[in-house]
Amino acid sequence: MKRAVLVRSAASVAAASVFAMAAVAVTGACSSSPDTARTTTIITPDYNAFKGTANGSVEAFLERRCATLDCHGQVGRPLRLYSRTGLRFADDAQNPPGGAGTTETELQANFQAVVGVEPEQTSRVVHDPTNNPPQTLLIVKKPRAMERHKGGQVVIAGDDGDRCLTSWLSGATDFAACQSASAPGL
Amino acid sequence: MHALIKSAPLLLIVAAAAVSCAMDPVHNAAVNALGGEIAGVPQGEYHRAGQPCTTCHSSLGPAKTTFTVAGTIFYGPTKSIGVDNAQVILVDSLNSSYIAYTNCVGNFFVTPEQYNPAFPIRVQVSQGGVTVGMQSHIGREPSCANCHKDPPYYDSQGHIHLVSQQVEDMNAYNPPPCPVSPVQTGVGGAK
Repeated sequence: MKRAVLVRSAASVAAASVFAMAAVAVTGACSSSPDTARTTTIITPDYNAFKGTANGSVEAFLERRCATLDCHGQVGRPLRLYSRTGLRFADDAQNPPGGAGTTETELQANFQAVVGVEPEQTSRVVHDPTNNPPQTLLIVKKPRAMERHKGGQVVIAGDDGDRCLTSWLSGATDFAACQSASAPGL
Repeated sequence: MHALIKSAPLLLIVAAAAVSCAMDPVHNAAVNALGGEIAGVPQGEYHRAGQPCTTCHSSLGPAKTTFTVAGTIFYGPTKSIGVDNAQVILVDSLNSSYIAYTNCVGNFFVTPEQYNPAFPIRVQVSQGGVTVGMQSHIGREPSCANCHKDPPYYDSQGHIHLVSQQVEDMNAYNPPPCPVSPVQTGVGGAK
């Protein structure tokens, strides 16, 4: 008697599986094909401020504090950063770590990497930093250690490095803070 | 018998968990990629110069000792000759410092009991009146050779060296007597 119940149960399961597969197949068939022409516009922070000048830049701060070969200067990192003393962009320049200064190609790649961490949220922050403050972004939360960060806490909210990043994302880059945060030292 | 069959899946899960803890495939691959010992160089302070020490000398093993920082200092950029008695000056983010000394194959190593730095750290190497410092800091990597590997490439400056190629060409380094050869043929860990 018990065996008969089991057999019936197995049959029920099989029937349910077939039904579920059919349902999935029908659902898939009804899906629209992807729109290959669709684009998403990203409102980016200021690239020129990112590059900065000799009087300070966001890029120089990131190079100094984040881009070493054992941290974000690795090809496997989602936030991959190139720098003069760290990972170099594999191109015709063939610069080694410690060689020539950071190239325009590397600067652009770094900028795209920073924006590319959370492009949609970056758009919201840049468009309306009052209602979407920079600290909603991983690029700020991680170095503050508000989110798990393998490299630990790199900045403290309000210090030079933090102000460099958040001011840039808010549209009014504090170059003095960037320069101070890029100074040699730990 | 019935009870044994019922408990079999549980035993399998427990066994699988135990095995997986001991066999991290990524770590095992890194250890295996280093290859075997070089003939004539026994395990000990002179072995595997230029390799990433903490691949084995970490809590994951298989070495019994663990190092917080370790590496090899070579004389010049082209010939991989280890430098004896070089000072490796380490300063951590809390401004705590430690000086390690290389042996005759250029190896140095720091145990947790000696110095357990709060990363990031800065490093400077000094020997015979020559001092060179790293241009960047070390974020968290305890093995020099995981970044300083040969040949120089987009992600590596090559092995650590004390003098420039020009100096190396002009003044050949004469290593002191050493139980094993301080000259290495290849430097660095697995890519």
